[in-house]
Amino acid sequence: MAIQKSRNQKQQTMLKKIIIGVFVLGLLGGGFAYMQFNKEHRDIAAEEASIKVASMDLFQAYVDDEVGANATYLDKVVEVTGVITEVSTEAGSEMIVLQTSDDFFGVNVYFDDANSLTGLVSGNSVRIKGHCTGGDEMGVVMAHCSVLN
Amino acid sequence: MLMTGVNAQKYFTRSGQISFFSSTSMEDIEAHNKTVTAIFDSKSGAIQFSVTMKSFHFEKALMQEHFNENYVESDKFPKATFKGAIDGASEIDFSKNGTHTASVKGKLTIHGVTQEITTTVTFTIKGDVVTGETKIKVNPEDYGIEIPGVVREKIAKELEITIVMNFKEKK
Repeated sequence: MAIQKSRNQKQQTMLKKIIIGVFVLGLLGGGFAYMQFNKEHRDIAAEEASIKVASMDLFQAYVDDEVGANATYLDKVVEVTGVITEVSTEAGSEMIVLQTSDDFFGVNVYFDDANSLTGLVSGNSVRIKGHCTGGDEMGVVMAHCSVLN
Repeated sequence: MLMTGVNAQKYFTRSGQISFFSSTSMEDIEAHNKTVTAIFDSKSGAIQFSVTMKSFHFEKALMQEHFNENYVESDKFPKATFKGAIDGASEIDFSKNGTHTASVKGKLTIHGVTQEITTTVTFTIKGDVVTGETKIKVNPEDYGIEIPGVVREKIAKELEITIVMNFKEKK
């Protein structure tokens, strides 16, 4: 019975370990790349709102200080409460507008499908959650919205 | 000077569509934004639009991420804007059904860089909707958008941008 493995056998075992190691890393790397390439879009509806605000205040923030408003709201999932001033059924851009201090410009709430507009009527108050993508004195854009109440 | 007989009217949309398409031998890249706010004055011809970059939707989430984080840097420059004028707007009767073409010239700002552009817009009036359509060619480099060499091959030198807006009278 050999007490020590010969140097040659030790080298072979080491080589095997390296090959297996590289192979596993390759699989992991490939797997990671595959997942990144096919990664999912952010699911706004599944995320908790990190900030809550009234439509009046959200719009005013952008009118008063766009840079400051972006620091607070840009790219965040925001819960907005407000009175509906307009319902638009334009295919592909189904949306509602929430009231602000301006009698025309408001918080633009865009939905991903027409069904989301069900039951939404001008004059009613609503609570929505969506992705804030920015805004200015012509309106604040809330994308991929869902109705909360 | 022509007497138009109509009062100055503003036409507006909150659902303007801007799409861009890039085709190379390697890959097709397509993105859509349907949240564009646009307004024009039918008497003065003044026209402007504002588009939030993070509302551009790409089929591939990874591409959307690269677009926002690396190319247009939407955290730093969340909006692209256009401010210009429709040449001969006062000669168009936007209240009557019909089709008109007009030259629109103005300042386009993307990624914080402003360029003067001119494009031909087709206005189609049907009932109470005025549809404005145009295509413009944009070279990302003109707006300081840096695309790394490796990826540059995948993106066409000039991107074709299609703009379709269904305006309604702002009452």
